[in-house]
Amino acid sequence: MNTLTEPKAGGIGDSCRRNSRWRLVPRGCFAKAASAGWILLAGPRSMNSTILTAIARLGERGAVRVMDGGNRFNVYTVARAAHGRPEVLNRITVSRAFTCYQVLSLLESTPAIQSPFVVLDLLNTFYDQSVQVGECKRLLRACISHLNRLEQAAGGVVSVHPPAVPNPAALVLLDILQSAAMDTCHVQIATPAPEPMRLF
Amino acid sequence: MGRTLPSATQVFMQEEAAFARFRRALRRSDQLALDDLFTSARQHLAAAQYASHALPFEVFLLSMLLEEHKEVMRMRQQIEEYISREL
Repeated sequence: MNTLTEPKAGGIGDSCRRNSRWRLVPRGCFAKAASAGWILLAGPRSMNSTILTAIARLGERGAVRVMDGGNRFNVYTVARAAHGRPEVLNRITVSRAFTCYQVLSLLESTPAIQSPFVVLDLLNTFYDQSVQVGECKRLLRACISHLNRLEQAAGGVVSVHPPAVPNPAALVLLDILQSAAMDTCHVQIATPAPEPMRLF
Repeated sequence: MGRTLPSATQVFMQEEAAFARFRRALRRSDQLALDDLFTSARQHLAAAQYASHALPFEVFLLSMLLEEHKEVMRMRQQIEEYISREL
C-alpha cells in the first residue's frame, strides 16, 4: 500500500494497518524499537502526537535519541506525556535538520550507541523541489546506510508523512525506504463520525 | 530556520481552545468567571514565555492564582483600612 495521500485528520483513534491487521501504533512498533532493526511508520501528520507520546514512554525506560527532519518535535507534548518529570526529559536528546543535506550530516555524526533512535518526518526535507530527484535518492540511500549502522547498536523508528504539495518523487523515495526497513507500518486515522448539528 | 516551538501565546490559545467544551458545559455566570481567569493568565504571558517551563499550563494556573491573590490582598487592605477608620 503505497498511497501517499493525507487522510482526514482529527481522528478518534489512530490505527495501524500492517499485514492486513489493525492495531495501535506505539504498542508493537516502539516496543521493537528498543530491540533491533528500524521500523518505518508511514502516515498522516496527525499521528505525530502519538509518536511524541511514545518517545516520552521510551524516555521512561532509558536514553532516546530523536532526529527531527521536519520540525515535528514539540517539547510541550512530550513534557505533558512525561508529566513534566525532568529525569525522563533529560534522557531525550533532540537534533534537528532543516535540509536533506543536514539530515545526512546529522545521521553521519550520530554515534551507534545502545539507545533507541527515532527519526521524525525523515522525508520532509527530501520533498524540496529545488533538489534534483537523483540527488535526493543518493542522499536517501546514504541516510539508509547510516540508519542500518545505528540499528546494529539499538533499534529505531523512522516516521514519514505525505508531502503537503503532491510530489511524484515521494512514492519513489518511500519505496526506497520501505525496501530498506525491517518492517513498515501504514498508519491511518479513523474518520470521525459526523457530529449532529448544534442549535447555538 | 523558523520556530521550533510554539510561543507562549500560541500555547495559551491552544489551552484555551482545549477547554472550550468545558466552558460550554458551564452555566453562564461560571463561564464569565472562567473567562476572567483566562484573562488574568493572559496578563502574564511574557513572564510565562521567559519561564520556558516544560508544562506551560502550570505557569498559566500560577498566573491565575497570582491575580486571585492580588485581589485578596487588595481586599484585605481595604478591610483593614475600613476597620482602622471605624475604630
